Amino acid sequence: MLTLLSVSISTIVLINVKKWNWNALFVALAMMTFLSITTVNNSGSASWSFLSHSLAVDSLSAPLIILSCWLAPLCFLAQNVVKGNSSSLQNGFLALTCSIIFFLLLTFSSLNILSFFICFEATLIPTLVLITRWGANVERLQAGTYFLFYTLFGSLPLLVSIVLISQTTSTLMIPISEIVTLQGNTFFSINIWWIITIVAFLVKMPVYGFHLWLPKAHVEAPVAGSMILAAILLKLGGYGIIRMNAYFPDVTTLSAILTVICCWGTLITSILCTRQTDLKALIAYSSVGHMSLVAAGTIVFSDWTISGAIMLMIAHGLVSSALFALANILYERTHTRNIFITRGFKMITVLLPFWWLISCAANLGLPPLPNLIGELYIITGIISWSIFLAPILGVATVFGAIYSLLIYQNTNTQSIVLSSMSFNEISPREHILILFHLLPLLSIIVAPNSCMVWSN
Amino acid sequence: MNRLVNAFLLTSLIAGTSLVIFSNHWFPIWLGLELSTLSIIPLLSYTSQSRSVEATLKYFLVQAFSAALLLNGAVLNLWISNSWDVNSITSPISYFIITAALIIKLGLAPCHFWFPDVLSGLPFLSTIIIACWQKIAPMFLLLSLSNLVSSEIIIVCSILSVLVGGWGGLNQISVRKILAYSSIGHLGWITCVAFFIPEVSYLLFLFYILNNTAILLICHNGSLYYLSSLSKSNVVPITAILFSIALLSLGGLPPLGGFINKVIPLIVFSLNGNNFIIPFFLIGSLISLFFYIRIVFNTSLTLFPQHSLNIVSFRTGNSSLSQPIISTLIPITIWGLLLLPIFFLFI
Repeated sequence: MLTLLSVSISTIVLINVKKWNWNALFVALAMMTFLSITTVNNSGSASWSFLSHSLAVDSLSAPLIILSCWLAPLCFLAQNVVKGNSSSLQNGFLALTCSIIFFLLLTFSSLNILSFFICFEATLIPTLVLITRWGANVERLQAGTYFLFYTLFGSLPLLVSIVLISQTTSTLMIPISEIVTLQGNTFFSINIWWIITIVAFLVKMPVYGFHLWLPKAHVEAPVAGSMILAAILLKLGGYGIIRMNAYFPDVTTLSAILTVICCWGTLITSILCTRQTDLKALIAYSSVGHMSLVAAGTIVFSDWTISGAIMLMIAHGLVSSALFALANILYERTHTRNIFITRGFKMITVLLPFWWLISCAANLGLPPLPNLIGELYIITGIISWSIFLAPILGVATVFGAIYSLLIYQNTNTQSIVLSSMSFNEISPREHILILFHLLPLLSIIVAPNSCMVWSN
Repeated sequence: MNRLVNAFLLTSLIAGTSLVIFSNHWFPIWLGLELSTLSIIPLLSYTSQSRSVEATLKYFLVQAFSAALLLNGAVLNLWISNSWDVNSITSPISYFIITAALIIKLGLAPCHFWFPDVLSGLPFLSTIIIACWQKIAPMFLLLSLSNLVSSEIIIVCSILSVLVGGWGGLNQISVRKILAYSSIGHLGWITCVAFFIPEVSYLLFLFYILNNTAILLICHNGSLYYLSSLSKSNVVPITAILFSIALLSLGGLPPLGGFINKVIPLIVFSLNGNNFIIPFFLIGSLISLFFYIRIVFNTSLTLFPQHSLNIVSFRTGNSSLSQPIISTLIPITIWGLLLLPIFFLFI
């Protein structure tokens, strides 16, 4: 664990030298990634490994740690760096990305809820700077404000809840969370306690009612910011709910209401996706839909839904990040994200339609890719919890398929706009970028236990 | 100003504050408060600009009135409890009069109206004296009185201060007024802890003073008087980044040090079972974060169209002495969260 953290910290420091070797830094990050794969736990039961005083890895955090380490070299790749002398702008960008990765590693491996909270919030500031400093439009200030204030609106009550938990149980250790019981004073107080704990993660996921920051942030963010945001920062919410639900075993009324809201949110965002005009906003709303499903799964909190939630988080992280990278590949060449203009690129790009096809197929939930496994587990678990959600989730899945196919058809098989026919080739850097997003998906197919087991 | 006169006035300022902190008798406390007020007046108004003179006059009127009120409360306490001793405040009426005087001196709501006005009339170095140093003496008095008599007036005034500090700073364009309202809000957080564990308030107050001094020194160095001048590249670029970090720390974002100012009061409130007042503080801190973010956006996150000759300019700014002081104070805001275990010595 300490090795991973020290690599990400040293990357932040080394970036600020005048002349750095881009290749060396990339190799360092890639080595950190391959080292992080050792954290995976294939023993089939939830257990803490890599234990130290304040950091540990269990089978819930191991896939997320690997995912966040995996994103680091990919963000390096996505940034069109000029080799040789580096400008301070590029330095700052890459330093911010690595600092987000550092805080994410700390978040996923922390054993103390307060340190989890501090690192959870610590990812906000670099992301805010990424969105507002390196975004391109004037709306990025409003996007940054929405991002910061939506998240803080949820996380300040979470801080109060953490303080209350520490008063009641006089411990903040996560492994002990299954043993302690929280007693509310009245009927409502345990529900309110649960709500103020969960709201931060619901905003972060985001579920449908609190999702307004996400399309804004994604549209205005640069590509590495979008990738990290979609891949990992949304998964902080799911991780948080799964961790904190151990304290609240019997909140049945409110959890029922929230599950239904999340399922409806999946349906509504899937329908909204079919009417979007901005490609990045489309992928952002599809993120909202998938993560609302994950949220529903984590709130229902049965064995199947939790396993499905973890699997869908990992798979969605990779696929969503791949889609954003693909959208950026087109954006760098045509400087527009409008789906009426970015269309028909099967005519002029060489391997790109294949990547589009795999990513859109994964997004819609094509077997045997892990997106389907996750969705299937969650939907099965939710339907066994209540049969009335079956039509909602079914229609949501169908609409998910509709808009994913719409993305693929519009960008690849429609008739091309004549003005965009002169076009830089897709460089090997970009091919490798998308390939390394999709390779782990294939490897998860043959080793699903790495991303699925978590039983308390 | 003549260097000797400057030295004399600063020495009497320090002497006045020290007299307040180290006395046990009410008369030297009043004397020290008046001494610090009187010795500042030439310091604030020596430039003879009409705005500075107006601010000085307002400041003097408020402080003299509150010091007289304090002496009145002390004499009343003498009549009731037959002692000039500071520790002999037991009756609620004398405690109330003295606390009201201190609230006016500190600029807590509902007696905050003079504070943004005075602060926006003064240049930044004088602002540092008014906003940071002059708060030390009344704050010490307030905290030592809280040890003796616990009264809910402090909680009411601190909740009002937090909300006023949040909403008051929203529509401002003058950086000094924004920092004044932020000061009101922060003092609200600090004084509410005084009702429960006054020793902890000292720690929070110290942290806030250091953070505020760093920000005001950076503003002085770059002459950042209005929001429109924040994008000037008059400041060394690393200072612009540190300025943003110090402001975000003031806003209370983890992992920066200002988060201490938010998490310790929350722990103290819930320790004493007082969960009802927490939402007011959270609302106030969220709203005040908005205008910190506005300053941060204008400083380092947006680049306004500039004449190309202006883009690279590393002028040293107003004062070359402030640079090392800033460099010492800013790391406290970055690493200050490591000071959190000190708090656990008090509970």
